[in-house]
Amino acid sequence: MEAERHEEFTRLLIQHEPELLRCILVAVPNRTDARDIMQECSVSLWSKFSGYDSDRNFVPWALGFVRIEIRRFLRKSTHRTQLTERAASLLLEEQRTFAADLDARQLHLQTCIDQLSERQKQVVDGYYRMETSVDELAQRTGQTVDAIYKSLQRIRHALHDCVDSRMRTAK
Amino acid sequence: MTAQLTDARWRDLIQRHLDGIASHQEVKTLSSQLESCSETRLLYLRMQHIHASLLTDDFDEQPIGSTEQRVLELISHLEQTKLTLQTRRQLLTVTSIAAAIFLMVSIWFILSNRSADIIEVTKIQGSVRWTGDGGNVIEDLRAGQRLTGGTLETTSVDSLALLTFHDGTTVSTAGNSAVTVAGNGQKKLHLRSGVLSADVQRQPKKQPMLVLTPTARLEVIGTRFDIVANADGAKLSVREGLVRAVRTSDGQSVSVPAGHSTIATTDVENELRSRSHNEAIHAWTANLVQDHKPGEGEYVSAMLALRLRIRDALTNGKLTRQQIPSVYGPQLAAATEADGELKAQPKQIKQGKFGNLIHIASLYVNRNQPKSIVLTEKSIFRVQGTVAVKSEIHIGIGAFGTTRAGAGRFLTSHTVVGDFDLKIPVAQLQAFRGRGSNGSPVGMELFSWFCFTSNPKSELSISAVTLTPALD
Repeated sequence: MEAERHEEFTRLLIQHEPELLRCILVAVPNRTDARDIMQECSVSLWSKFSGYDSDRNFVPWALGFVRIEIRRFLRKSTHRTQLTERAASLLLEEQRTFAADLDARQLHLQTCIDQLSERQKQVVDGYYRMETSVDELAQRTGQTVDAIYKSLQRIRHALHDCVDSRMRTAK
Repeated sequence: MTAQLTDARWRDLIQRHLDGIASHQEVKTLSSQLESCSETRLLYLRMQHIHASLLTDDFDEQPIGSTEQRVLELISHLEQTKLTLQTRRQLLTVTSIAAAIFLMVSIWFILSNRSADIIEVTKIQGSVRWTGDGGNVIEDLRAGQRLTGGTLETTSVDSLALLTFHDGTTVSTAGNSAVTVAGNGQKKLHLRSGVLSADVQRQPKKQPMLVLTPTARLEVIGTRFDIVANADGAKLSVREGLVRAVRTSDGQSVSVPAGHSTIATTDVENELRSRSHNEAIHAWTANLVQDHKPGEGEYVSAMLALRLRIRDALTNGKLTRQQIPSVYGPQLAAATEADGELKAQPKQIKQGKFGNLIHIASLYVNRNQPKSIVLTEKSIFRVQGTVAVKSEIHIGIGAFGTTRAGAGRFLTSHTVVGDFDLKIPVAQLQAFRGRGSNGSPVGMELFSWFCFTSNPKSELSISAVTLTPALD
């Protein structure tokens, strides 16, 4: 019986971890901070899993713990300026409201990423996939740190506009 | 900095915050704006969504099914975090650490012992055949059986198979369908022909579930949809979420949201479009030449059908050559311009309430027409045909589901003799087989029609099938 619960928890956590992490990133955009919060959540979820009703959807149950950990983090965070608890809370609420919109955008995003220039893809790969710091990217490419940040912003800007445009066309 | 910033400035500020380079004052201003303005919150969510999607790419890239890599990644995260936590050890209780370690060990132990199966049989009805990747054939599939990759064939009109992946994604297929299932990481289904309904849990965005048909490729993140396909085309109907459909012949793609459908054929002249079910029509007239399913009905022209009938009458001594002009003259004259008929063909099925041999005629409904045909409470099927001897015939339809129910099959039975002309209100059709069949097809989208009999002497043939919204 205990082994079955372990397996169930493992399956659910693996299945839904990306979704929970994306939720954390709404309020805490820094990836290291977000992963720390995710880890704290994993421990909390496991310690409370005996109270989880398998007939219920896992994500809403887990999101309760995610919100608690986010709030705890925002209160104690001193090394980076964070959004206020109220702003974070409103964003988390509205993320659920706009879930369908964001899901639809997700589908177009990959197409838009494919349309980036090779140079832009290298920046995305370096910063997001390889998790290279902006300082190091600047050194490697011979650009200034500010230029790399500008580059990232232009890329996200372009992706946002591309997704917008594809959403309008899809309608 | 004030709240009167333009959208572009807010966007820049949001980006600076996402990159962690916004000043304390800028974050304070942004927080204040987010607290008071829902439009800025939506803008933030959309910008953040791009940032988060790119960031979590590494999480999604690992397929859920690739358990060992996934566990290694998770353990790596746990270990990384443990190092971070050492700097603030006082915040963690001994119990938490123990739980984390216990969790790691449990995950490793459980998943390293998991077999390579990718799906579990949830429900089986009628005649179903499974051919595994190794070539082993299983004809007696049972609920609870776990399978690796292979090909599933539902081989008769009353067949149904419901399969469940590890992540809870379910796919069902019915009637005469053939689908190859692969799930080594990314789920891939090759629907060679037939109908497939899917209820897909959220998939990694870099590895969406793929459904391939001879003419289309579907990319599915997480949604509910139905698709019917054969070598010439595929019709997709989405009940929930969003599916990206790509036409194989020219690579044209379209995103199909809930309540919409699209058709991908080999014809590239027509634009691939997503159409709302609100554009649905409620009438249909079968084209027996184009719409019949191979192997389930043989189309014969009116002239040929008449000649065969005359030949049989002569053979049986019911007619003499001299009587032909007087008995069949007017029909022979009209036959040159008349529609033909669909003669039911014999088909072996698994022994059941209809025996193990039926004679069946089946039609695809509006397969190549973009508009959906939706059944209403007042829909009436008119079915014309003939049988040689008094026979019980079973008339049925396959219908795509709505947001409330999956695809299903519906059936009614009638006893007929000689030429028949039946008017069947849709309410007469009752749930026969299928996931989500809830008793009535009202509101559902029609995708197939069939008529069969178990009487081997019936010589069942169908000359016309129409659907009208109401009686004239």
